[in-house]
Amino acid sequence: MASRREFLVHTGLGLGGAALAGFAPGFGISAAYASDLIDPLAPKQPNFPAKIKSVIWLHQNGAPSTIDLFDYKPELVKRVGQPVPDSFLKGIKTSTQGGVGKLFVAKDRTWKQYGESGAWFSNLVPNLAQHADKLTFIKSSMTIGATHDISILKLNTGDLNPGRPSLGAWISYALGSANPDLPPYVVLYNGKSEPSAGSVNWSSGFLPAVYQGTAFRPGASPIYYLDRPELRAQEQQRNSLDLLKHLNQAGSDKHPSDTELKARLRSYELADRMQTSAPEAVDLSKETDATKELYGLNDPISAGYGTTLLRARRLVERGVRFIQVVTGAPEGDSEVTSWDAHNDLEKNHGIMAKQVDKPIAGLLEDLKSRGLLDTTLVVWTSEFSRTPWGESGTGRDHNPWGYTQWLAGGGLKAGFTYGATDELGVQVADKDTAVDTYDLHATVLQLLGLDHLKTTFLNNGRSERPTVVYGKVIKDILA
Amino acid sequence: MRKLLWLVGVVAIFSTALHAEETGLDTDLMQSIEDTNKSLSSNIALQRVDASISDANDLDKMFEVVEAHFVKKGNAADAVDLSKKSRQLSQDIIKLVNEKNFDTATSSATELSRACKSCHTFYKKE
Repeated sequence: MASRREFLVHTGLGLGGAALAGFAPGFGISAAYASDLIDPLAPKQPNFPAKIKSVIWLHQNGAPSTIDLFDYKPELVKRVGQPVPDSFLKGIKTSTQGGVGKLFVAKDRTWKQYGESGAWFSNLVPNLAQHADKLTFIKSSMTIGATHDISILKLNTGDLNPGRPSLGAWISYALGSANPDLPPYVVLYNGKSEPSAGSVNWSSGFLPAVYQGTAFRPGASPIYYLDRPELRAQEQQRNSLDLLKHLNQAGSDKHPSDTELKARLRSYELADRMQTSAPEAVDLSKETDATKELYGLNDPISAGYGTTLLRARRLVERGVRFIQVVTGAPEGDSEVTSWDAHNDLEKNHGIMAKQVDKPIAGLLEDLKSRGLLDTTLVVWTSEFSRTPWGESGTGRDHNPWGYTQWLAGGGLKAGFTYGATDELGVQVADKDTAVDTYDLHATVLQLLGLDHLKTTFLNNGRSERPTVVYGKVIKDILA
Repeated sequence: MRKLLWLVGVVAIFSTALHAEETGLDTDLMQSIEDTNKSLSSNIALQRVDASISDANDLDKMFEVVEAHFVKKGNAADAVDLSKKSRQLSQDIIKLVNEKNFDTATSSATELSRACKSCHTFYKKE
């Protein structure tokens, strides 16, 4: 029987095929590259000392209206019901159905300042408001694209088209794994289905597949097909896996330069370990009642999201580098499934804010009390936000031109605000302070000790980096 | 051969672009700028001196066309300034790459990309 190499050569794939696959076993590859292939998730040193070890990326799916949460606009309140002055629309192309409507303010919206920073919070986020002095606001966020899927893709991968690695994948590639028993990049979500924008948002793109995110689904068994089938006894499975390992090891010993086999062995071993480590990581049975209450697990609306955030904290404790949390549909009999409030914003944001407010506040409190906040970065982010003019009379349209995101955790100026939107919350006020998705990525990487300009991968002869050809670290928010 | 084809393409784009002022900048020109910019970023990262200089030279010529377009269009002082800035950055990159100062060249290339984005905010047709 032909060896694997003989087969490849005789079928014409040979070295060319292997080269297309990114390596040529035993054909002059560098020791460092070979070592990467043997264990692509081995820990790697950053470019400079990191301020943080883990990132919890809180993607608010559907685009919350930050002028209803964090960005108080008294001028908007004053001008409610009036048309939007032309000067505020200069340079942007709107596409609101029915045209740009009158300026809209929810009638029950109230605002207060909190903490020593005096940050403004609306009545929708009373729990988060208690953590005002932990937060670093970026109030000059902007992006492009006004449809969810495209802008979500840009938020996560830096491109409007599929094919690029997500931020988490770049981080896995650049830093490897801190825990050999868990993936370095995990995706969490609540609700009955996976995030609608799809797995392309945690893809490894042109990076090796080992760096893609692993989605942990809600429930006790986080990964499909991880559990042993009922028909198979534990001893049977153990014996099968041991035999497979023995045969693979024999093959590996016979072909010591076959790094693909070594990588595959490693992935089987990881999968084996994850049968134990993954369920344990998400098992909340040992968490106290007080902790569960802190995360809002006792309220049906916030229980699902609170569970994901408590899992996120546990994954941080276990060394997972990047945890991408996507808001899902809250429990209960409601047609509200995301923050996308083109109509009935009051009902939509009432429910969505209730879903996330206590859990996120709980996460910040819990991380702080466990001494983890200084080495963790929590990011509130969304694909864009919403317009100050109304849509359908009671909602708001998409706004990629000026909105708010915030960060909390190590390496940041806490209780600080960078940038601003104009008086009505339409666009970034000073374009020199505009923070695009690439800039957010560059800053996250910086806090992890990575220079976004030097985190590169050779893809088909072209050097690629996480920030494409853009990106600027927002130095003003760094401590 | 590839370089020759590139040169022919760039010359063709320059020729058509010069006649396209009434209807706006040629989209092929803009695409070429984007493609060349990405190539430049890669070549600087890979420290390929000749290829980087070639890309930067091409960009300089293409931004010259862009600048001429906005000068003729009128009432687009910011676009003219951004085009001039882009040309200056392209020329700076040539100097930096010649000096093997690839880190600063990378920063300049990133700034060049941002200049493109700034101009697109007001002048890119959807």
